[in-house]
Amino acid sequence: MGSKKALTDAERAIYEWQIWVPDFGEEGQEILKGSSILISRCGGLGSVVAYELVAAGVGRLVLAHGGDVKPSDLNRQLVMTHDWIGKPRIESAVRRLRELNPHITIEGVGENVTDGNVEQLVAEVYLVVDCAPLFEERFLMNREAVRQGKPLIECAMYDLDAQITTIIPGKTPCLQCLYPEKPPVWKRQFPVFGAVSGTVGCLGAMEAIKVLTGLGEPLLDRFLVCNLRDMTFRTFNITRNPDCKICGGLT
Amino acid sequence: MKVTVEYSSQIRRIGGVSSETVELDTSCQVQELVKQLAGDHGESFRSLIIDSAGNLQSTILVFVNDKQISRDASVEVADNDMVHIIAPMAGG
Repeated sequence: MGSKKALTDAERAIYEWQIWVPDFGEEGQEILKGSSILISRCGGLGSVVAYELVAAGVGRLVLAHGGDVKPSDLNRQLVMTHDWIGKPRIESAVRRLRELNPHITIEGVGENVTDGNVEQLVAEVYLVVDCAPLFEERFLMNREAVRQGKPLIECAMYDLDAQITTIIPGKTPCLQCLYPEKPPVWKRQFPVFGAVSGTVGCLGAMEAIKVLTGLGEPLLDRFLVCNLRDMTFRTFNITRNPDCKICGGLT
Repeated sequence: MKVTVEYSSQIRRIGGVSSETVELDTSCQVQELVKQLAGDHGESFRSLIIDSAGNLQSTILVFVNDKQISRDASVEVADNDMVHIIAPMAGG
C-alpha cells in the first residue's frame, strides 16, 4: 500500500514488541510508517480505532469529526475529555492522540463526512475506516472509496452486537451490496457500552493493519457478527451483488 | 425436519426472541420460512423483516448456515439447517 519509510532507532524501540510478530517484522512497521488512514468520526468506535492505529505507528492519520464534546459522549468516546465539554471534539481527539504518540502525523478535520468533502478526504489516504453512526454518511464513504479504489473497513455496533467486514472495491461486496437502500429503522441514537464499540474498534484497527501490510487474512468476502451478550462470534460468507448500483460495474 | 432460526440485534430486541426451532413436515424456500415466522412476534418485528409489499426487506441479511441467501435465490432449507436473520447497524 503505502511506500515504506525507514525506521529511526527511537521508533524501533517503541514498536519493538509488535515487530516481533511473525510475518510483520520491521518491514511491516516500515509500511505502517509510510501509510495514511482516514477515520470517519471518532466516536465510541472510531476513537478506539484511532488509539490503536496511533499506538501502532501508522505514519499519518486523518480524523473527520464535527461538533462539540457533550457529556453523553464520555461513556465511550475515549478521545473526548471532561475538560473539553462544549469545545470542538476534533481538538480533544487530536490533543489526546498526540499525547499517546507524538511521532506520527495526526490531522484533524472538524467536520463529518459530507457530499462536499468526501472526495478530498478519501483522496488523501490509502485506506478508510468507517465509524459513522448514520447510513447516509456510510453510503457516501462507500461510494467514494469504491470510486477511488480505496480499501474500506466497515465496522459498526448496536447494543451488545457488532458487525465488521473489509471492502476491497471490485473484489469484495461493498456496503451497498449488503444494504442496497438506507435501512428504514436505523436511528441516530442507539444503546451502547464503550466496551462494545471498543471491541469492534480494535477489530477494525487490526483489519486496517492487516490490509496495509499483508499480515494474516482480512475479512474479505466475510462478515463477522459478534454477540457480546452470549459471546458468540460468527463469520458468514458474503457475495457481491452484480446489480449493485455502486460497485456492480467493477471487475 | 428441524430448522433453527436465529435473530440478531434490533430484530432480537424488538421481537423479544433470540432463536426458535421449527419443525417442518416438508422442505420449503428459506424466504417463505422467514416470512411465515415474521408474523409470529408482533407488528414491529414483522415490519423490520417484511416490507409493505410483503417481501423480505432489502436491508435484512439472511444466511443459511454460513452462506448468504439473496432475496430472489431459490434455496430450500434442509434438516438441521441454521438460518440467521441479521439486521443492519451503523452504530459508531
